[in-house]
Amino acid sequence: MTTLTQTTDDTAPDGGAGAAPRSTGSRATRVLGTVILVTAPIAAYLGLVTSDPDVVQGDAVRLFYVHVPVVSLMYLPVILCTVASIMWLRKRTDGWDALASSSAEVATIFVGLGLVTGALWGEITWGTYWTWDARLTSTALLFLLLLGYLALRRYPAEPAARSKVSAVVGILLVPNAILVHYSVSWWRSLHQDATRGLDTKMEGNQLTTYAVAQGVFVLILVWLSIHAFRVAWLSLQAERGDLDVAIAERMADDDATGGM
Amino acid sequence: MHAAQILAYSDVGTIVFGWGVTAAGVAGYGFWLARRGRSLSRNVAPEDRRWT
Repeated sequence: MTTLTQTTDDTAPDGGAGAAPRSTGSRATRVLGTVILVTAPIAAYLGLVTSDPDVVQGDAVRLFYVHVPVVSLMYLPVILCTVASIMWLRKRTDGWDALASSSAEVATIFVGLGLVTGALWGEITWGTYWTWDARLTSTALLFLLLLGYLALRRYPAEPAARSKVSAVVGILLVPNAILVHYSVSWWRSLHQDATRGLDTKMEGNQLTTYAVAQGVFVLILVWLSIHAFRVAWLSLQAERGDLDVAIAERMADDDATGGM
Repeated sequence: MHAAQILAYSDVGTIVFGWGVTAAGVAGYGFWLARRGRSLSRNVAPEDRRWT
């Protein structure tokens, strides 16, 4: 007899507590997803309604509540991709390969959103969506590098060779991210220095709003990273399964030809 | 009341678009992952997808 938890749980047709899930969801990710669905509207309410306008930026500060969390968190999947790429070159296991692939995908989303929200903020504050500033240009380069990485991952080639080339590109991500982070210090930049940190200049309800938004984006990053890793893992296993079937068919064909 | 307050912001269109594109990007990618995971799960043996 199945319990209510088991029937609502996303388990295989054969049911039972030990059955494999039919999706990348698990109890932990469902709880996490629910927390995100509850807290994200709160962050939006704080950012769009209750937050005071900034003395200098005015209402443009409301874009900061999405831009700064996204940009500050984009470094994590980038670092993870590089570490996983190095580990894959050493260990050659599916786990590291899936981690590198999934981290790059999540990083692309965050870097892309960082560029878009930054451009929108720039339009309000600087009067232009884009300028060839060191921070903006290095971030765009990072985005292009990530797109190149993802294109390599989808290139129809022998899996080990593809993973090897991807890993080499993955290793280049962290040096590029370092360039992005320090670009405002190393070159004359229109972009301001880091907005947040231990000596944050924010206070009052702006700081509260920023903290809530940052927390929500941390949860979103974790949720996306878990699901992306599981999808990448499943993709590798499915590809391996297809390869096994193709080899078996080829051997059967050879046997049949040899018997004639 | 809140809508009127938001509409009074300077550059309201850009601000709301920024929030909207972020929400759409994250949600869209999340849905895509969930659908792809469900689809791939059918092709992978149960012992290779145990994360409950």
